[in-house]
Amino acid sequence: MIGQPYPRQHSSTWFVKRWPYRLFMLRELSSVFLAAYMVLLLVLVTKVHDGRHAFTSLQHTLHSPGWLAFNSVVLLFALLHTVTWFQAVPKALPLRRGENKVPPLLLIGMHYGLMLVLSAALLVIALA
Amino acid sequence: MRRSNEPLFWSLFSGGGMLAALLAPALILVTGFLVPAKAVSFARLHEIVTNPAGRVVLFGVAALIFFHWAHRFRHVLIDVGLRRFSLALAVVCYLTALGGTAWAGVVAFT
Repeated sequence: MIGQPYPRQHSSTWFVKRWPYRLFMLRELSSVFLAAYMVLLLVLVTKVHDGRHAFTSLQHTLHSPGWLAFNSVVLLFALLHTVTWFQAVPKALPLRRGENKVPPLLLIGMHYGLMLVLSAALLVIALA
Repeated sequence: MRRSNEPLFWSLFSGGGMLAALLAPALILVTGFLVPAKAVSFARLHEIVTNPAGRVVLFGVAALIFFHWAHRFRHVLIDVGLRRFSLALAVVCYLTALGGTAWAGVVAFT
């Protein structure tokens, strides 16, 4: 007979106690910042559709120290997300080439390479 | 045995995570810093958001990142001790992501 699993008790603040746990929690919370950023991006696009006047007004708002600080925090969380996500790729997607496993460092490097190409493309599209 | 929804939500989580990892830093650089610095022209932004490919990319990125958030945030809440509310959390998180996706559709395609 298998009974109910024993619910292990632990405090709800376990994640503030050790650095690996804190890092885990920051990594998970990056998703909150990414979603908040998507809301901001959709608002920005709405303003662009609304016309030059609406856009310029938001552009002015985004220049304030508060919004620049917000975007800096978002950027740091986005970079934490990128680093930890690529770090996990060899475990989540262990690619094989024939008999051999693609070396984890090569796999991670390929993702950074793709990121650089896409980032450069985005900058060219926005600025050129 | 009841079929699990986990693979579907995990795929959305994973797709959103990959797109965010590849694109989010550059996107934030553009909209958070270059746009306030007036380095990106209104005309160019208008061109991008009315371009069919631009619309599809915006919608796809937004939808997948919202579902990425929903999945991760749901698990964070469970991990900090809200396992009792597991089902309610899932419903609230994924419905929020669905709402965000609908909004993204309206913004991207109108």
